Amino acid sequence: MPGPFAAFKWEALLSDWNVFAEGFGMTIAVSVLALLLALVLGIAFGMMGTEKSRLFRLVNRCYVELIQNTPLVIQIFFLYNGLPYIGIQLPIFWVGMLGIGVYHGAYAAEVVRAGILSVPKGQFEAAMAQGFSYRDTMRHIILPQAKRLAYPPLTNLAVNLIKNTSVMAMIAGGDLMYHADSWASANLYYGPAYVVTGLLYIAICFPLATYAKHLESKLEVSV
Amino acid sequence: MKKVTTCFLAILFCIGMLAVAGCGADKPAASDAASASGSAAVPADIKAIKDRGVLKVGIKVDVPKFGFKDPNTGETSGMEIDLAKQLAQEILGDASKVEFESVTAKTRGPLLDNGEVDYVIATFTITDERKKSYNFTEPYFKDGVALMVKKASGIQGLADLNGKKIGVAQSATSKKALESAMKEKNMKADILEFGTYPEIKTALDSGRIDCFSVDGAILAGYLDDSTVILPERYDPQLYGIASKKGNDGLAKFANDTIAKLQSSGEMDKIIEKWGLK
Amino acid sequence: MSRVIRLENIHKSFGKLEVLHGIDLEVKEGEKVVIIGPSGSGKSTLIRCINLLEKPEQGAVYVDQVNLLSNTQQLSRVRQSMGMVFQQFNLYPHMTVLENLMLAPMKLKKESGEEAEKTALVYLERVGLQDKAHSYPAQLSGGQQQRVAIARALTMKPKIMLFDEPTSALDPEMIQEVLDVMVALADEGITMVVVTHEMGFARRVADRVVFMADGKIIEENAPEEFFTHPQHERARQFLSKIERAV
Repeated sequence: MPGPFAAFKWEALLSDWNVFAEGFGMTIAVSVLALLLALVLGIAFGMMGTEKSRLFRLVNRCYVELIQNTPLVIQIFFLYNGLPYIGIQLPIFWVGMLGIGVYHGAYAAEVVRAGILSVPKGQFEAAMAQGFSYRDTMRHIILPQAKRLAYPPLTNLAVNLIKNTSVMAMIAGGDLMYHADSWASANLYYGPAYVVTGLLYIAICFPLATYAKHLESKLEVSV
Repeated sequence: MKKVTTCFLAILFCIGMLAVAGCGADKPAASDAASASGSAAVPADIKAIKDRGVLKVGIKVDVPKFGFKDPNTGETSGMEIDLAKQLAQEILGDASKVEFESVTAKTRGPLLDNGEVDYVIATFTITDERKKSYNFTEPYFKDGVALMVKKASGIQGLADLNGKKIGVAQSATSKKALESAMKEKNMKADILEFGTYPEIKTALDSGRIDCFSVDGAILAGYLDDSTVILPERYDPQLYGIASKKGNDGLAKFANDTIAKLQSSGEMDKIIEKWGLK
Repeated sequence: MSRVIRLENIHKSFGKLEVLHGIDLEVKEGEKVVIIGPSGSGKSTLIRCINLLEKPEQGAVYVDQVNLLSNTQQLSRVRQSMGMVFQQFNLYPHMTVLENLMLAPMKLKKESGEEAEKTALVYLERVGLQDKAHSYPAQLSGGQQQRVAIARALTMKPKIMLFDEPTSALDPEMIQEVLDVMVALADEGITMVVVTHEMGFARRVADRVVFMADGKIIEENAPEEFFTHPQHERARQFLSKIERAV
């Protein structure tokens, strides 16, 4: 009786390695771009969340609450199957990048907001008193300090983001998970397929997570 | 850095153990089955079911007419449900002594492997590749891959789908069937795989794909006013009842039952009952 | 001498609580004004109104003849001409001492790195901390940090220096080193407004002492006059409490 991990199933996987490589490439490409988008959104909306203006803070809250309180699956499904009804048919790569970037941007915004709020008020005042504009104060004095605190959670966020690209499998996104599902369900050699897929995710996530822990311990020393 | 390396080695080791366990289990199980059938007594795998008093069968719940759970009544029905009840009747003498477990393309293999179900009767197409992992009976149903398109699209056949997108189900063999058909016609379309049939239908409705292609009988369950199933059929798909390799008593039993139903004309009656002819 | 700071009828509230009830104050060029008064009297809020760290709801703030409340586009330029020293030092912790001193001249005055470093080292030497140029603020004592903060303010070559309780957060043994730097600065003729509890400093340096209580200026006078013959009952009470404490 051949078990789920029978040798011939591993051989089949080896000969089809390019299927997994293609998916892995897609996962990395979407991860990198989505992460950039999440950081840009996180900084922009995170800064809004610390503004005096009520309107900016309201915009921040709306974005964060709306995104954090709905499942990523629904957001992706909406982008994929909802938008076409109003005439917008985004390419699948964009659906993945936008959906995953916007979703994690909301979490990044909270991290950035907390980072900025952790900088003592005196730092704003010292910079303002020196004659720095709001923008320069943020850029030279506040954000560099907020960054130190925000770095470890942002690295963890990157790990989650990479894992969450697997939702693209649901909409035939061509990512690693999609190809693993497709390959495994066609020949039912699911054992090797999911082990190797898991290992590939570990290969990028584990170093990042370790890096985050390293940053955290460094932060404890310096604070 | 040393820690990291150790960790990876540990993981690799675990996988290696799994692989060895999988291969190692081969021989004893096979010889068990052989000795059981050799002694002409009730095979061990069948006896286990008799002892348990209930037959466990993996079925689909989202394929109307084959295996479908009515969301209003909660009742599951279809021709494959009837087949499962027949098997229970034959083994346990009571058609109601059957426990259904809903399976998907992704779960039916693992559920057989880990013994959660005895049989899978779930529009499971027989292929040579799959026969390496599971026992299949002779086919109980034959169907071709069909194409569903939007009426408004004006698409008449596969040839009109050149450069378009076709949605198929994961693990369905329709992908292969379509690919070889397109090769013959010297054309190309994007084939996208989805986890469930409703997802494919949603993508067809939203215009993400131009064609929904799975086995014709399955497709019929998703037909509505805005869509049409084209007359073309590709690569007849043969459905078989699957059981775990090693449970050879179960395999033989299911095969015998299918043969009996077919020769008695009972099978045709079931197929007719569900309007699948 | 021209008036470089003029506050007219300043009202400032935090929520429902009004902490400044219509303050008028003028400071002439080169003048040293020391503001004293019991805690909660509004003296910190008042000095922070001069560079609009607090924005008054009512009244006018003129610095160098510019009405800051109505000329917001000039605010940055005017702030650059006014150095401010805080109770909590507020050095930028992610930068070295030298970088703290170089940031504003480079970003705001567009000085070259070389030029800014030269200026920075001159002022560091004046506060006696040239050897700490490459330290981080956290590696310095409180007194040293405050001296760096003064040097940081001076690198912009301000016309006016504002001190908001510069020694209140310091351990007693470090107060004198900061006061020494401030006295030396005063002797150079720069315009100074100082909120402090250091009466010795007020006597030694001030041209004028401003006594505040309950959000109002109660009394203004030359230090000798004020400390020996306070006119108002509130001022007498305050001084007697301080003397007892000393």
